[in-house]
Amino acid sequence: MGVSPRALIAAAALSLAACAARPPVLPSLMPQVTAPVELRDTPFFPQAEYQCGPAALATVLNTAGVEIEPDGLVSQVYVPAKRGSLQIELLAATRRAERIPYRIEPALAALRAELDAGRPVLILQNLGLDFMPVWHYAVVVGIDPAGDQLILRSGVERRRLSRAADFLRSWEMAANWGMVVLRPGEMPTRATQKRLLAAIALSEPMLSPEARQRAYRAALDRWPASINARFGYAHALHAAGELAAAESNYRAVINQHPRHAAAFNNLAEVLKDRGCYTQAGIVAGRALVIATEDQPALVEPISETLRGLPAPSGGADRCKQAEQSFQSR
Amino acid sequence: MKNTFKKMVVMLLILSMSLLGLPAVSLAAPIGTDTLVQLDQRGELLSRIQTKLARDDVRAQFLERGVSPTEVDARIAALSTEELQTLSMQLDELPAGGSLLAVVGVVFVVLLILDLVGVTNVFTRV
Repeated sequence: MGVSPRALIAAAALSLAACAARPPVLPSLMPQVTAPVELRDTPFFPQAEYQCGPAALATVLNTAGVEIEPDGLVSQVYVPAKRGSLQIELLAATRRAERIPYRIEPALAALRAELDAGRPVLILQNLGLDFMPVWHYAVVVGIDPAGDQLILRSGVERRRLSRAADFLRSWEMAANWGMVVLRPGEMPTRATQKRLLAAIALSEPMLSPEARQRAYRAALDRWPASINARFGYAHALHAAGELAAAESNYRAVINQHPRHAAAFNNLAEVLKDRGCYTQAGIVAGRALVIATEDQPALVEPISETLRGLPAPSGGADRCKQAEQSFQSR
Repeated sequence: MKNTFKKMVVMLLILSMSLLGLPAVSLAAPIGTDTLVQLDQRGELLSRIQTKLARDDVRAQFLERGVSPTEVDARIAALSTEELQTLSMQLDELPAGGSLLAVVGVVFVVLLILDLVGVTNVFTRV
């Protein structure tokens, strides 16, 4: 088999030429979106050493009003032996900054929608190969359909232009993972109920009661029938000491879903804080019965609620009145 | 008079002895929305003990991998139980976004060649 060197060179040249002449991909992926978008004001923090995680995170946190430098994030997200940062810890550090990390749908259209709303998107890329990955975080700040490229804050480059095909390939090899940072109460452009409520709920332990009220309130405004949003709102009201409002929201959850063991449990906690121990005992007992039948996982916390209830005493009448005033509404 | 005093002492003793059996603080707290969401997603919850084990495990793994002892607890506190479990089970397999400087040896050479022929895009600019 005599393949001349000249033929080989010709073939190589042809394949390179083929690469260079690859057709643009953005027009076919998003034919109706032709306007460019670029968030030019997005700050830039050039990464130091292996720390694209802290740099990228600082970029999106600053955009959401958190004044923090990458140096301040290294101790929160960097894992020295892995020479990098984990996605989970980027989410966690966002929560620690009293913001809500929202994972966008893994699609270019979702990414574009966030850019259109003025939110840069922190993404994970695999710049290597499936079996030889090179993981890298960058922040997408723009899309240029005419030039068929994406605009990123990446590594030490303030304005990295990435060919759409290259970017999409590297993004896809990282499962199209991307997140935006929300201020509590802010809604992502294409929020799905489940995604957003999971994002808020997982941030709940790190957020102040006021921040949580704003976040759940916004979710309720969008989806008034959302049980988890109502539940979270009630939970935040309780934490803020607004017992009457917390109680009425837990009761609204129970009206919608009469076998909501957790709402019964938390209602018992509110009643306890109001000094209505007899009623609290009855409601917690109901929670325990439902949980035993439907949700064994909740038996443990509900038992603790019951154990935490003091013996009933004189306040019963006052509570009864409150109860009646509720029902008459 | 003496009797009354004795009675009081006995009562006090009984009271304090009976309190010994109780936990110092009640563990009761409202169930969080995070708990509900995780229950929705997985259909089960980690028990208090399982959660503690996962937390201890991730803590140990973090320390082993160079996370500062003064930071490790605050980092773990910001994780959901599900995230704790994920880290506990697969910390080594999970992607850690770092830098191109992490690419060394044979991998570097292979990727450099692939970059030059346009397969990967690690080192090249547009």
